[in-house]
Amino acid sequence: LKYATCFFCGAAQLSGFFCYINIMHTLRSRFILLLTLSLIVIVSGKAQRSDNDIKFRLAQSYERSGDYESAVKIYAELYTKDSTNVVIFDALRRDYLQLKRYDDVIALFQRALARNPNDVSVLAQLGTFYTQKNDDVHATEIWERALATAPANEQTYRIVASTMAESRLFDKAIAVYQRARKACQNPNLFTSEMALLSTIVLNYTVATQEYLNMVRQTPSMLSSVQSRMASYTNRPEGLTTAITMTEAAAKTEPNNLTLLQLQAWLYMEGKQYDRSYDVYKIIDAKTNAGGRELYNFAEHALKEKFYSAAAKAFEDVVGLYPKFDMRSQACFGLARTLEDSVVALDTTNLFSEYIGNTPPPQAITKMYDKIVAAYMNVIKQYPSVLIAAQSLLRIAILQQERLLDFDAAKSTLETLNKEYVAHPGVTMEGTLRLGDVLLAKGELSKAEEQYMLLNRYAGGGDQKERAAFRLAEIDYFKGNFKEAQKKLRSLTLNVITDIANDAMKLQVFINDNTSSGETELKKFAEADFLKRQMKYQDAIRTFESVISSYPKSSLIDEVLMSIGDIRLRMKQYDVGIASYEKLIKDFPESLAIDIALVKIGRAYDLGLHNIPKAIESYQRLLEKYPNSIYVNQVRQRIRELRGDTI
Amino acid sequence: MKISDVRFRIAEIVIVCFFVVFPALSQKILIPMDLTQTDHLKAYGIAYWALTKNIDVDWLLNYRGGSFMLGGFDLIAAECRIRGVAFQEVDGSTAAQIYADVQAEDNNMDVVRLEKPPKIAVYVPPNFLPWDDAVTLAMDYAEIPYEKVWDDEVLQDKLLQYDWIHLHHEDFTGQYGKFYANFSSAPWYVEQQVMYEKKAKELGFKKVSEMKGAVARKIKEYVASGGFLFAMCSATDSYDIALAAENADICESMYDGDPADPNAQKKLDFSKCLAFENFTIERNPLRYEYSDIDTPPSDMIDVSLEYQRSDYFTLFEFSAKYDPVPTMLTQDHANIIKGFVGQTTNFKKNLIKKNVIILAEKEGTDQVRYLHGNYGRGTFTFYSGHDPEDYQHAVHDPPTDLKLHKNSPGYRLILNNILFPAAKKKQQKT
Repeated sequence: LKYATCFFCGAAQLSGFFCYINIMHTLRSRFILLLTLSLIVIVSGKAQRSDNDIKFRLAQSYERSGDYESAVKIYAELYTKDSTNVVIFDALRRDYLQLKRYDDVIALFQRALARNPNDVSVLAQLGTFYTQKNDDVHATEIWERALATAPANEQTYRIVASTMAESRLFDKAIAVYQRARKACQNPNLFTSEMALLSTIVLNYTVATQEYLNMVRQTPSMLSSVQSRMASYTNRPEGLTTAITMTEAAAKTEPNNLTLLQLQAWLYMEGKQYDRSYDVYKIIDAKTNAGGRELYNFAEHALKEKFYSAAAKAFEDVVGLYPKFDMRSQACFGLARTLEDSVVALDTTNLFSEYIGNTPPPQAITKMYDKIVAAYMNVIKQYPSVLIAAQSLLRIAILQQERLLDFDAAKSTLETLNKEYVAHPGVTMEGTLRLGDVLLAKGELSKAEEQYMLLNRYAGGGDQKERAAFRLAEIDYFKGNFKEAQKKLRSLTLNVITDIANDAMKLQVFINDNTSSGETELKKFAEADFLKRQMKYQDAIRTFESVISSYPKSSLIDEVLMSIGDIRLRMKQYDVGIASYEKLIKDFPESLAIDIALVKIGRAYDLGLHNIPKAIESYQRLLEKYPNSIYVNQVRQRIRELRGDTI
Repeated sequence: MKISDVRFRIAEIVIVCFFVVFPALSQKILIPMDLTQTDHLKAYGIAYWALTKNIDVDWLLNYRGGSFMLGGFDLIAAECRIRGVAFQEVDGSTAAQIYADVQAEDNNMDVVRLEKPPKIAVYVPPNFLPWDDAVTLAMDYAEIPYEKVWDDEVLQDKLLQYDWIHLHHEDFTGQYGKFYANFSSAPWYVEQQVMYEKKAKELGFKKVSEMKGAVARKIKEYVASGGFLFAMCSATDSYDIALAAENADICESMYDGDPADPNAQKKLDFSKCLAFENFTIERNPLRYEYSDIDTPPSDMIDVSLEYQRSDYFTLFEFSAKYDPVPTMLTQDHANIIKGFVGQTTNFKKNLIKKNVIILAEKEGTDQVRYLHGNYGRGTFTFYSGHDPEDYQHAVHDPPTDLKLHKNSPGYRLILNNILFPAAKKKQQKT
């Protein structure tokens, strides 16, 4: 037997026999060896990674503290070790840019490109770095290269253009989007992006073109497009461009409803309601809206005080669409439009703030007649319903306040209160106004009855307070001053009501003028009542009788004022001015001098159109009564008359 | 009659005429600026208007709140009435007594003759911005005419045509008011940035910050050559920062397309500033603050009603005879004035250059409100806060209606600045 040494464990053994023990040895030894090797590799790898992690965190810390130089050094070292790490790549890019080391960031991106020469995103960014370096030639070259990677793919253009836009290179981004359209043979590509960028660079022509394309492609985007266009339609040049281009588009595509709607909206943005209405007529016809589009337009135009367009639209709804479900409102809207437009034109009551309303001239009266006819038309077509009651009330108000035709107003209000009891919201106002009309006609008892009737209604606080004040006034006109005072006292208790001021004024007037005897006050109240009834000559005579009968009365200044007011209402400006001047001269202590001076100024200003005299009168007020409550409005008026730009 | 008798009679007549006619001729208008004044702000407008009519205006420093004495009796009286400005008719002898009192050695008062209406420019952007400017509001209300200038005019040396320039709520650092965090997508902000960029390109600048820096330097040249500069709110600190940052990029990429220079702070040259030094710029582009000059910082202001009620600043008193300029600038009917905030609310005291005069401060704090200094042959005045009568004027807030604040002590300080360039220079007492 020959002994040999075991190859694995070195133990002596018989040659030719398997060393079973050694087999086990062998396996164990190999395992240990492998384990050891693995551990060495793992430990060394882990140590390596841990070292890199520490360095990375250190670099981040430097970066956070603003020490970009130190951060860059570490990031660069780490990147050399692992150029596939995108986090380190991005950190390095960031810090190079922060340090304005454009050559380094370009080199970094060039290395990345070497690995992946067709990476569009990397190329796009590289281009912007060249622009930051002021190297437009290379920038253009790189972007061209980026676009050439996949010239038929819209994503290529999207990436390049959006990278440009991020760097505020808006014009270049727009150019890229335009190229994309040609290259991809799709003229509708990037509409939204183009519109937005064009708006940013204030190129309203292109922006509008793109928005028009957007609504052509997706009509449901109309409201979104309108809100986006609104960012430039508030500028005159933006609005003009938008209107011109939309008009042209709508002309070439007359059946495109969205374009028409956009056009109509743009006209309204530009306050061109008549033109807008012309477009709405087309829209209404094309959509078979049966007048609804016209009605909506009319309501909008009325709200914005574009009366002629509103009237035209209401007229068309009423005339062309007899079956329109809101036709009654359209009829009423038409009458309201006429009324509002005439009232806006009626300058006959410039004095009303100071002396009350005066009857309008014939030309204006004719215009009011038309309005009355329009309301009558509503009532005729829709009798007994709320809209008819409202129409009747509007007629009565016009007759009472504008036309000063009390007989007509009385008749209208009596009809309203009798035939429309089902609409107490309207008849309450009708009852109060009937009382006012009867009062103006001198029918005191009947007026009282109407005011008392208001107590039957639940609610209506305002109307009831106004009625209570009128009842106090009736007592004053009748000479029942104590009763009037009693009623006025209760009204002045609630100072937050609208009527409290009027009540206090009358209360003070009665108080001040009853101390020296009631006889002359009764005469004055009688004249005042005649004035209320517009019996001007009688009123003047009665007022003058107060002066002749009670020349020392404390009421004389009030009398002169009232006579002046009546003369102005009668358009006898010179006589009126003389009455006020007498008041100023004879009663220098009167509390009414400041308002007398205002009225003189107004008479010269608005009645006689004598501007120098008007300014002189106003200046007298400023000079003599600098603390008057009228000084602000007088100052304002002087400046208007002087043509000051304030 | 003897000749000597005739002479005597003539002398007698002359003397009588003198006493009868002279007081009438020398009748003056006194516009008091104390609490009896009905409209302090329009009173400045009357003084300015009188200068345009070649009527003498004397500013009676420290006399009844800094009153005005004017000739041109009838004309001025009528105009005062129309504009609602309280005045008193003063006869010759009373006027002489007032002048004597004001000029008495033992009174801290003096008379300054205003000579000519200053030509006023306001640096205003051509585009709409959703906030108002207290100075233009004050001038509009007081009816003091002014012209608007912008970057083109400044860079073309057109400022030399004006005596006084006001800097609107403007950002000279090129960071668009640092509104980025809150308004970067607002149409007015987007439009502003594009317009400014276009203008910079048109004028040959690569960046808006470079253009604004050049504008700031031109304005400094204007001051050096004798111009009067008045700035409010953020136009104050942003102006000095722009001057200091001539060689440093302090704008982050959202403002100028590339990042700020990390070493910008170190590169600031404070010697170039007019009023401030040693400040630290705010590097965070999303923070609504330029530097630590502003105190408290914009995002740490207490706007609670409780704080508002206790927020007042105090005007310093100067010697009218020895320091007429600061005295003019601090003429007011109140010396404790209600505070108001702005993008720049107060200036930190220890960052103000030593040669700058502090005109007002919040007592017991390091917060300076109002300062003045000389540079070259001109002067500059900085007034912090945005609107003296709107404690916190936010973007899109409606303009303050000065009809409701006719007697605003805070607004008066602005108008002092407008009249001060009209003053005749007189030899200073030593």
